[in-house]
Amino acid sequence: MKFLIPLLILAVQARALETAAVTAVASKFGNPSPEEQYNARVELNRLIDDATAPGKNEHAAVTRALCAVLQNKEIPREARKYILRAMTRVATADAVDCLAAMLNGDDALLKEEARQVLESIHDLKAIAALESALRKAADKREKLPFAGSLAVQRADSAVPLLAALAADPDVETARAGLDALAEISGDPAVAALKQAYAEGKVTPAARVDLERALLVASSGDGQVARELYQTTGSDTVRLAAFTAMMTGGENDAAMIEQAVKSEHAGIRRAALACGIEMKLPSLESGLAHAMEQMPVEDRMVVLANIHHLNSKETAGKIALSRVAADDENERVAAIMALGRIGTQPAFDAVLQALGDRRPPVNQAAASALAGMDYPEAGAALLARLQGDSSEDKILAIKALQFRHVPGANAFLMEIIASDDPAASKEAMKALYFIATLDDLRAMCAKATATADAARRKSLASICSRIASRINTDEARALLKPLD
Amino acid sequence: MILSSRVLGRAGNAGPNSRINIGIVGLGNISRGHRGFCLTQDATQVVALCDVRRQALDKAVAEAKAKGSTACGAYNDYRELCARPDIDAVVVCTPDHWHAAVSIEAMRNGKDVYVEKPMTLTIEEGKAMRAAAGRYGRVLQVGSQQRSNQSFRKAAELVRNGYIGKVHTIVCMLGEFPPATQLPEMPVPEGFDYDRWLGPAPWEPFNPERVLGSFAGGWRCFWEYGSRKNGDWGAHHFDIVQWALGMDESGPEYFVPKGYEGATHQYHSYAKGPKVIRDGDGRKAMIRFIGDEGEVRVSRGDKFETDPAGLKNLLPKPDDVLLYESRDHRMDWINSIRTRQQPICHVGIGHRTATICHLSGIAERLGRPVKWDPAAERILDDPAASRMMDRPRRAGYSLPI
Repeated sequence: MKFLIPLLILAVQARALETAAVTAVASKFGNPSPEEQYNARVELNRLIDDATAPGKNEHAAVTRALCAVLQNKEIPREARKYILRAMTRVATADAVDCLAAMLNGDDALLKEEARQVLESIHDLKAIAALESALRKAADKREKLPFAGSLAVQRADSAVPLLAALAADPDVETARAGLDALAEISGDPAVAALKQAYAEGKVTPAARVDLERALLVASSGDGQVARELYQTTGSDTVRLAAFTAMMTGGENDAAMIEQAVKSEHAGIRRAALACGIEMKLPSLESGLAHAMEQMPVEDRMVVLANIHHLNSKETAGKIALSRVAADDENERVAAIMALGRIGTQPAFDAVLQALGDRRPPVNQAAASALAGMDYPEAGAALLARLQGDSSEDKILAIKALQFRHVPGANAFLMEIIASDDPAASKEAMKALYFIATLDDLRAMCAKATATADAARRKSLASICSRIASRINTDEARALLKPLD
Repeated sequence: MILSSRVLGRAGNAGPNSRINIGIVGLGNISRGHRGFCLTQDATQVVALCDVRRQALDKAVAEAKAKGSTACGAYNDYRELCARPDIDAVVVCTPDHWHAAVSIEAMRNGKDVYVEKPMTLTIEEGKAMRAAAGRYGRVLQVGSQQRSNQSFRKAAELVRNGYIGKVHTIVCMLGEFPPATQLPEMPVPEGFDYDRWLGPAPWEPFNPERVLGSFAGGWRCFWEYGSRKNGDWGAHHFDIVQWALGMDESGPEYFVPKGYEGATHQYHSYAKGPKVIRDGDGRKAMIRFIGDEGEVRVSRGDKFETDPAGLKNLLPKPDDVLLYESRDHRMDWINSIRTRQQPICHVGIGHRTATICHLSGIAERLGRPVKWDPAAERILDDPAASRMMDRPRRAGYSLPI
């Protein structure tokens, strides 16, 4: 006991100091200068934040000090406003009585700030104060903010109060109650929403809000989602219910097969994506034919997912059938799909698209080639580099700017020296972008060794450009013999 | 598989090649580019515009009509715009404190969303938006458009694949706004719905400086409406850092404000990785990745340099990670709307990047470090900081579900 008394005195002194410090800062808000008021705000926040830093364990003492200042009639209103705002991050249940009293005051702004502080104190006492305020509220304008605060508090105890709001004939009030129940979402809230749904307790105008609230609150309950999917009259709730079914273990084949025939575009497209990803045999078998009849938007969804099909051959055939589509976006989607499919016909088609003059198409082909999981790509490109067809050679050279193929650069150097001017030009362009220091060394040696002055000049020129791109002393030194 | 005739567009439904109907909420500086894009693409048509400033709204609607959107509707309340069943997608260009509410309202009404960066004002708003996008099956693109620039992508790809070795330091240039001073009350201009402009933010008297849309300040200076430079440029540069480090589903763990125990710069650090320093090195580049085997520097305007220089044109090796490639951020969103695939900067990515911006801001405001658990998405050992993961909303402006 003899140790406790000095400790208590110290605690009271600390609290008194805290109150005095806050009062001193708060009084500065009386200064009409905006600069002084701003400084007071900064000082107030710093005082509170320092006092509630980790390890200090003074939240309750600080809360009591702030409440003492709030109750001081001499403190300017502006100071009270900012004290209340700071309290949203530090106040404990010790502030509830003070804040609840403020809810009965005349100052609308401070009442609102006090509500917000109560909302931030996660304690049963604060919840009780908010529930009491909701019960006492005279009209809709006063009630709804408290419903929102109880939702933020996830207050199970408030469910009966909020369920009563949900049944209100006024749509805005009913929505506020339903949204609050959805946000609370625990068992009591779900039970209240299920009951309202079963008993038709809401007005027709709030029916969609009830369905949405039930869906949100019972998140992960596939059966609720299925029930809503089958019964709702709202397109958005139906789509949300379908989405919930897909993620809630209710994604059976029959339901997806039905959904791909839906008139609701969103559901149809979600079903197409899901069905293809699930590799549903029934979907796969008729997809090539169905593609011909689908809207382009549906085909885009198919193309984005088609690489999931069991048969790469089927997937490839479908994607290939859209490579020449009228719609440029679809054409691009088909090329990207081929990149993900990664078979030989897919590779050939993507390589062909690389030569397309339209930037969206050749850029898609470049991306598809770069990322294509087709191990034979390197050998296929090397074979083209050595083939007779100039057109094939040029496409292969273009591809080398996007896909690393070991050993290819040596062939490019040979092509530069060949009698195919178009391929030679393309090879020089490619080497400028991809030649390594070793390639530069080889090219410089070749240039130095050549007796043909024109050819030497041409090689020296490309070497110089490559060295400039590599931009190291070593690269620049390689050019010296060519000077 | 047999499709019904209505599916095929023969019974009153929109048929093949139908355009995407766009509504745009917020008509300030940043919306100009979006309006220009949506008004000129074959794929899109602007059918509704919304702003709380009547003058700006009337002017934008007149412009849209002059450019062919003859039936463009005008709205003061975004909820009315979102309720229109003919609108497919909504572009959110409001100040940051409105991003979450408008985006969620749009998604719960079945719209896809393009929302300007930073995605949110608080961490909890990000969680709510991520949940809403999943729940309603919506595509959401965040306007951190540096991801759709080839130089930033290439830089991130080099870092991701270890071409500069182990990255130990990253420097991001964000700059600084002037302080948000106290402002005297002034009369609200005619036609300005100031209460709705404030929306969920705390009530403050009107002053034109408070609501000013300026890239150099205005509302961006105020914590009430934005995240200052951490949200403004951090939403771009921290986003690229996350991408480069392969941390799109995670994030840093420790945030230190400038001035704390002599720290000359704000920084944050990843558990097993580098320290990200804000404004640290004499403006060599917007983002500078420094590894033990090299360096990558990248800025807007395709300013892209590497040490060694040859890295810049290196082709990816077969086992390298290839990052998502987009050449146009808005078009990437349009493509995602069509294919129902995630866009390059989807809601989960935008949330994680915005989380870094907000945690940096919380540390700055509290003047002390913040410890973060990116897996559990919670602040550790600091109750006051934890409560700053969200903010109370003013009566009448709660977040939709």
